[in-house]
Amino acid sequence: MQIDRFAYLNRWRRRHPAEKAGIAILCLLACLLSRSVMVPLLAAFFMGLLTVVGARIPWRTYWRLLLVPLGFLLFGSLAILIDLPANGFDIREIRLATGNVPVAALLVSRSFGAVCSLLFLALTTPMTDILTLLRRCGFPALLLELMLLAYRQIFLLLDTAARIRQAQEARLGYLSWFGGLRSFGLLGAALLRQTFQQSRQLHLALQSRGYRDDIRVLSPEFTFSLWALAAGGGAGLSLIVLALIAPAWP
Amino acid sequence: MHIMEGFLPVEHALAWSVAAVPCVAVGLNSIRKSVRRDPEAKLLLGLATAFTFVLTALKLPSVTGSSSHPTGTGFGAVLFGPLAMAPIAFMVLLFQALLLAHGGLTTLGANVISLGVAGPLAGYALFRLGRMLCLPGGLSLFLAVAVADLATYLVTACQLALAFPEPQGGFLAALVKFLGVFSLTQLPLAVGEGIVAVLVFRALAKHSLGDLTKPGRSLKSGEVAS
Repeated sequence: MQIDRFAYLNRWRRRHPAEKAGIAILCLLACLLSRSVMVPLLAAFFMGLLTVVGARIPWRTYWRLLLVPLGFLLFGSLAILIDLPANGFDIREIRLATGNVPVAALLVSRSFGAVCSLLFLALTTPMTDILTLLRRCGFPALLLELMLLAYRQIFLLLDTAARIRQAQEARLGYLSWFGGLRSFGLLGAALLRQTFQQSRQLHLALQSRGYRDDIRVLSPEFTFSLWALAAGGGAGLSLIVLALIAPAWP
Repeated sequence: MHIMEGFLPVEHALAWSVAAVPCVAVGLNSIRKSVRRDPEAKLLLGLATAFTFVLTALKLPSVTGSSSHPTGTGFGAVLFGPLAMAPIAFMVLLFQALLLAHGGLTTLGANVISLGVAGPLAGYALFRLGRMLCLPGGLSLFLAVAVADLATYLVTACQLALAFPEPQGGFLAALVKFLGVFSLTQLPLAVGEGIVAVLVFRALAKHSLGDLTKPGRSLKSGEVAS
């Protein structure tokens, strides 16, 4: 959960979440709307610059976080790039689909730009700020309350799961495939039991404090600068315009 | 199986998001009803969301060596009912996007449809069918969870094939291709997750039966014994 840690520790933590979300969403839109390979790459560069130079996320961490989605992306675009034979499934007949290369190139660049935009938002804005933002946007209160409860609990459960897993591995619980499945099943059962137990305890604790379907938390004070908003918004909007006018790949 | 951020063209991303909204709304309404009956259910569902997130963040031991994470859709549908799964999937997917950079915001709608609607509905239907045919509880559960995974995988492949049809052969050829490529990870996952679900249920039924059959769950006490 490195992303969550940096969301609290980056230099732009106190910037208004609407500012950060706005820029990320504009770039995301530019990536999706683009028919050209260059615009998403430009957006990726812009978002990477803001993340590493602006919010001061260490570039090594940033790169490592990018690698995982990139792996998925290559695997996914592989499916578009290969050409299955029309009759029968002879593995030697699989070859590169040259007609699909432009589609795959656009896909890779679009996804790359979009992932950079998503990472910018995720690395600079903690979940609690995003929930506050969603409340302002008129999301159902019940959904946000469930999310707040879940977010709090995730870290406790992850900690328990990691400790159970370590104990199981120390006892060679994952040596064989079926043994691994059995250990995993035990882990899941223990975790689920703890979930039930904690939900009961939390219910009692909240009830005894006069819980009325509403958990109110103070949000920190945010700095809000018109200049930053104009610069970010301008860059995002010009990327969108560029995406709309840039010609498709030959 | 997720579709990652930016993978779908803008029209598809938009269409799937619009399709997902009523599903989440209906699920939220059903949650609201069960909360009115039993206020504790709200906390339970919140924590169940956290549980699903944590479980899907863990790697399942896999045969092919590929990384596969359990989806939890079939199991959740059997435990909490299929309707509640759409909002839970929405929340889990949003957490995964913002905390793990898995999946994404623009593909959230498509992923909610495959993981939160198609998987749970298919899994739950199969579980009920299995119980109606008086199959052993463990077998029904295994089938439900495995089929929920397979339905998710099928729907995701359809979504991808709709977005990227082949120049020759169109949608069907693309569908066959996506099904083929992703079967490497998805078929072992379905079997593995089915087995794990049965093991989890057994362990829970042995140690804390009350948790499974309380009011607010969709199971009756007779259904747990396998």
